[in-house]
Amino acid sequence: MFRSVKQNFEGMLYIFPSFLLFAIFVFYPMVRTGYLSVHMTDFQGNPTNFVGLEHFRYLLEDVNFQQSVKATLLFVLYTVPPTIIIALSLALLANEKVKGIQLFRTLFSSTLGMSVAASSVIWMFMYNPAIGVINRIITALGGEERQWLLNPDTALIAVAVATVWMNIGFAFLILLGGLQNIDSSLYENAKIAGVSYMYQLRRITIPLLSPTLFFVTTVSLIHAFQTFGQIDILTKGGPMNATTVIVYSIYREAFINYNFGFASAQAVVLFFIVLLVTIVQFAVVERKVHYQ
Amino acid sequence: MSIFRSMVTYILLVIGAVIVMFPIGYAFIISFLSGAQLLQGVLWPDEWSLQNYVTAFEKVPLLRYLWNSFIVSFIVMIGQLLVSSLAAYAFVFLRFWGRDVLFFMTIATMLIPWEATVIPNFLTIQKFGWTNSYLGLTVPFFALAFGIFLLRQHFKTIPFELYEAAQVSGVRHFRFFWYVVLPLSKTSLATLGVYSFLTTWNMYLWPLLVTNDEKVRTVQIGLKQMQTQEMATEWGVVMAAVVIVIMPTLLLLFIGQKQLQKGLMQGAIK
Amino acid sequence: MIELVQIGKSYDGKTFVVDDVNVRIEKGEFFVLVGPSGCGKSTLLRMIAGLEPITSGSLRINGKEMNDVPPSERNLSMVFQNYALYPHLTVEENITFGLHTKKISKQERKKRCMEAAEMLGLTDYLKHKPRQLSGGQRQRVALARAIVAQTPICLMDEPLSNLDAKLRAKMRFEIRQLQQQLGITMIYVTHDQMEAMTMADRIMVMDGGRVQQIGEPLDVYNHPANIFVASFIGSPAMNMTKADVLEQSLIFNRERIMRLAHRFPLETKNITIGVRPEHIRLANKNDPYFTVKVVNVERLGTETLITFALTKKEHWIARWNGQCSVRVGDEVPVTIDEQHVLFFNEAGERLYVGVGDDYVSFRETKF
Repeated sequence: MFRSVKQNFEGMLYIFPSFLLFAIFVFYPMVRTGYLSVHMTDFQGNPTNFVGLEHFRYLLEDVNFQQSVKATLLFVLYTVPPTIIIALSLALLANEKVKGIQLFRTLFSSTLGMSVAASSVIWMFMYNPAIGVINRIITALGGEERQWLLNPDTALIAVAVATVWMNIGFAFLILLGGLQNIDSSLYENAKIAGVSYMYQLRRITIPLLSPTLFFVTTVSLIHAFQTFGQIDILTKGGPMNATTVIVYSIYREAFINYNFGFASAQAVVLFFIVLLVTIVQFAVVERKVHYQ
Repeated sequence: MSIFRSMVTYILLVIGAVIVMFPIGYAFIISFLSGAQLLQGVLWPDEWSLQNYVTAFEKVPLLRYLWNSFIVSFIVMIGQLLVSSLAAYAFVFLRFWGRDVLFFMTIATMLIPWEATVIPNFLTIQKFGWTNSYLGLTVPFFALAFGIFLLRQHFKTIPFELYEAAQVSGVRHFRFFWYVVLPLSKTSLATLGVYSFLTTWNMYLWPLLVTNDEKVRTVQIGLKQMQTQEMATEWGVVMAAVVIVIMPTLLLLFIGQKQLQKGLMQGAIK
Repeated sequence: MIELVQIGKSYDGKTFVVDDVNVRIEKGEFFVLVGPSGCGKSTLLRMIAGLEPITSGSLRINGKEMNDVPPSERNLSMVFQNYALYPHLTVEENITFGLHTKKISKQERKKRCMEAAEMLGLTDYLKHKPRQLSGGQRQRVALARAIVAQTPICLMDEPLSNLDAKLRAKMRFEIRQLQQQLGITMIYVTHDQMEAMTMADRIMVMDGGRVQQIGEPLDVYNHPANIFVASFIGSPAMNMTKADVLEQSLIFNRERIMRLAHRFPLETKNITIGVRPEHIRLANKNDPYFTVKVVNVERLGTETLITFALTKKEHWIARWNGQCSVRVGDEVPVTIDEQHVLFFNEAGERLYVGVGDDYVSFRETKF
């Protein structure tokens, strides 16, 4: 089809700002990350000599990196399913038509407005061994005080609990929206038929909510792989690397040890993990999700 | 609904609200307690003294940080709205070579985690001499695939006849964009605006990397700094700062909640 | 038998969207609630179903008060405007949805489903999903679901409004037939007066949350209780015009005068008169007549609609059988039998006056 030069030019003009920025801040750095990952670098991040897949080979052997992959996977496991289950329960509750429900909807979504830094500082204090509320409650109930963030056995779980709380707001809001999108006459018909609440949940709500659940799961998974702020504030990757998730490992390697090449190799791994998760999600769930 | 069922619903709602709101309420209460009271294990302030708030502003340049955060969030919001709406307009109303490929590339950028590209980006900003400047904190975020996608979804609902009518009467593209498309998309623009402001205000990793003095440091980094400096003794002051920092975004969220939900859903499902 | 006694519905406690509805619906009756959108007919139906709480009054089914009985225990089925089909379930699963709660064996469920599918021509589609069906087929699935429940009462909320005109006519007939075959009591909501007229044993016309008239379709058509019913039922609508009363005459916009064989009560100053289009006919040789100017002619084949100017402000429509050769701009002599002229007072209520056997004439005034 013939299009005038002017028309082409005009289109380009409108998308130029976006693509200029994408080029500088997304495409170039992606390529550059790949490039750096096969080089040794100096302290300014300039590549010095080509080392091929040396970094990646080293990653496979590196105990620290294995630990950080393990911590990341555990962290995902500890955060994503609980977030979705809790947010779904809250959304189901908040979808009931009772007086004053709007207030509860607002309260339940409030953690969406909480920054990672502010939330982490609050949880830091809650976990404080001497004066934090968590130990106070536990001792009041006759349990013993714990060093939640300093004990390698509990640190990751403690960070995960805080993270679940931070992520509830977002997941809740999206799931509530999904529930509200379900045609109310479907429930009215169920009411007249007289099916039980659980049957209704299993047979109507969950299947019809599946596109939304799928979206929330994907976003939460990707989000979990990118966790950084709460780790930096609550544990700094410790104790004994128990909470060094992959992004924190990249940060430490690049901006504390100035080992940009090695850090880039880890960034490449992160990229492929996220890509893989996305592809798997789409491939597996696409067939099982009910679209209307 | 039976009385029994609505009673159960209310009880569960209240339990949920107490659990979700507990950390926020807790921070609020702590912000009125002195260090000594905290050590004694006081759980409720006997007087609502604003001393901790005063100290917070004195100890660190909190006002400066708040201002920086506001400026950065505001600039990113405006930048994202402008850049995204221009691109979305082109993808919906203009026909040009490579349009579909470019749109696919836009979507593809959503697959790249920001953290995976953070190293070269940091080096780029360093090379531009943009560290410790508003430029470095804002410009990298102007182009946002999610924003383009969200606005494109909305622009597609504008009747194409409007565009054709404008073409027939010889209205230029930019006029049509500015006087017809943007006003018709106020709700989506507001959604994206709230979203941009919230996410930028709450940003952590990037400001941590590109700021190392008070001039442009944002409030989130200020919090981290306070928490590491103060440690055990002055938690009340830290919590006062936390309350100040979360106030603007919580307010924005409460006001824009419905908008945001609708907008995010649109980006999610359709 | 369903009884509604002083049924009312209010969301804010002050304004009533349904107010003081009293009616008795007999067993096996096809009862249609008809009215413009927002008149409260759907709300009323949903109150009968139990989907909306009843604010005031009492609902009795077979003599038993039902106000606080949950929908599933009212022993009724409902067909929704959008059919309420589950998009992720097959046609068969949709039809049998909820039957398990009624302690019906698996074989019985299957049997009922097959019967209903047979009846509605869905046998070949039982394994399909709703999105693979046409609008008419989806409608039938919704009907089948109402049938398999084998409840004595069926409620339908504008079930045909999403279908095209041709299919709608066909489904009207099918639903009516089904209802008679199964002997169920049907309460059917529609905004389409044609649907109401053709399907109902009795209709109830509603407006502004209040009952305007209840009766058999032709009764309502011939003897509308007020202006609203008169203008709502019938298509093209009844011709209506305001007139001033002057002794034994009616004056229309100071242009035409109409003499009556009787007097209105003294206090009546303004009235509205109504005439159905089919009652305005071309005057025969000896009839008293009045002349009107034709402004539009619509030839529909079997009948012709003629729009003429009664006064400068008002146009009336006459409906004549066959294909008339009248043309726009023609002056034609027309006449109306006085027994076909309806009178309404200022409040819109029907005025019953002694019916003469005279002809009515709209002469031009000489002022």
